Amino acid sequence: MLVAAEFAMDGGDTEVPRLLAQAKSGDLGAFEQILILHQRQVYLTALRLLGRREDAQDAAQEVFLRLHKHLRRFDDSRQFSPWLYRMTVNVCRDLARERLRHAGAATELEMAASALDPLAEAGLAERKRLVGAALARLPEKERAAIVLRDIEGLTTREVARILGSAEVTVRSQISSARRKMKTILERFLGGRR
Amino acid sequence: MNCRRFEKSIALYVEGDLAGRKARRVGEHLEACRECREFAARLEATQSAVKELRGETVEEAALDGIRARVLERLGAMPAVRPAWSWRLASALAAAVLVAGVFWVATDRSAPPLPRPAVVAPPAPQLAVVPTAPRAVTRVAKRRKPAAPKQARPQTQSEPLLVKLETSDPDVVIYWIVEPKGG
Repeated sequence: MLVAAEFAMDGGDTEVPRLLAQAKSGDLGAFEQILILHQRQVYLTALRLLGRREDAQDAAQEVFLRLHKHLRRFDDSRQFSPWLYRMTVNVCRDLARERLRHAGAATELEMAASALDPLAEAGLAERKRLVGAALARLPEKERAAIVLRDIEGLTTREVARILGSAEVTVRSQISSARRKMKTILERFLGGRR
Repeated sequence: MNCRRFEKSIALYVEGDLAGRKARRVGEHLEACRECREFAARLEATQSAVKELRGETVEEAALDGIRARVLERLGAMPAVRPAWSWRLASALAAAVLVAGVFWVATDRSAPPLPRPAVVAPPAPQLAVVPTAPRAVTRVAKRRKPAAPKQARPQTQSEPLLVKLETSDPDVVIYWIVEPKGG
């Protein structure tokens, strides 16, 4: 079954503080509820950062295991979702570096892009694959910035907080990433839109 | 006019990431520069493609798999404990340690061992021949060197020696019966 993605920041936030308090006390049922509320956000962010579904699943699993381990460190006065985004970005960065050490650079998405028939009209599904391929070609920090800003829909300030960077730095990364995405996608999609 | 310097700002402007004076400056430039308007239009088109990922679907099975694996791993791990439980555990551990040290340091006597059960030999077919107490004492001393100290009762009266003669003339069993109590 396919389910549309939800991108609301801190979706179900009225419930999350209560669940967090229960989970901190060792309530595994409450932790499972937190997992259910945020697994889509974590998985999709990981998928955009890593480009492969298998890697995204591994990353999401690791994020929630780390979340469980470090749950007591979470400051209840702060928003939960940015904290989870930061954890997701960190896990994906670690996983991407590990994969890079153990495998070649060609990803599933890059192979999909190279197999594109240049005469065919790109449909929605194909465009999504191409965007994924273009994202995979961005430098790590620019990819994280554009994913959080343009796909997750966070503000520049929130992205800066998640990435632990200055706002001006993130703004520059976003600008650079958008221009690179334009160049790459025009090469893929040029003249067909 | 060199428009390259505007491209950085246009990449922010198209998504509303510029405000105030900077936004006005870029807007004015776009009105005046056809090249930059085309650049901005193409950027908006690719940005639309990027934002199409916002509506991406997820296979529910993938999420179920993640959840199942996480919960499986957590099921094998100790649950998160609240901070107060660690303090309680530490206090209990300290109390056990102190009790242990006290127990070791205290002069304690070993509890008396239970009296070993006496199993009587099959007597009916044997002849029982009581003998004199004096002889009993001598035999008893020679025959019971290995008996544990704790098992030896403190007798106050003389033991009774029972001589058991078996069908084999070479086998004679002596059974020392000590009276209870004392």
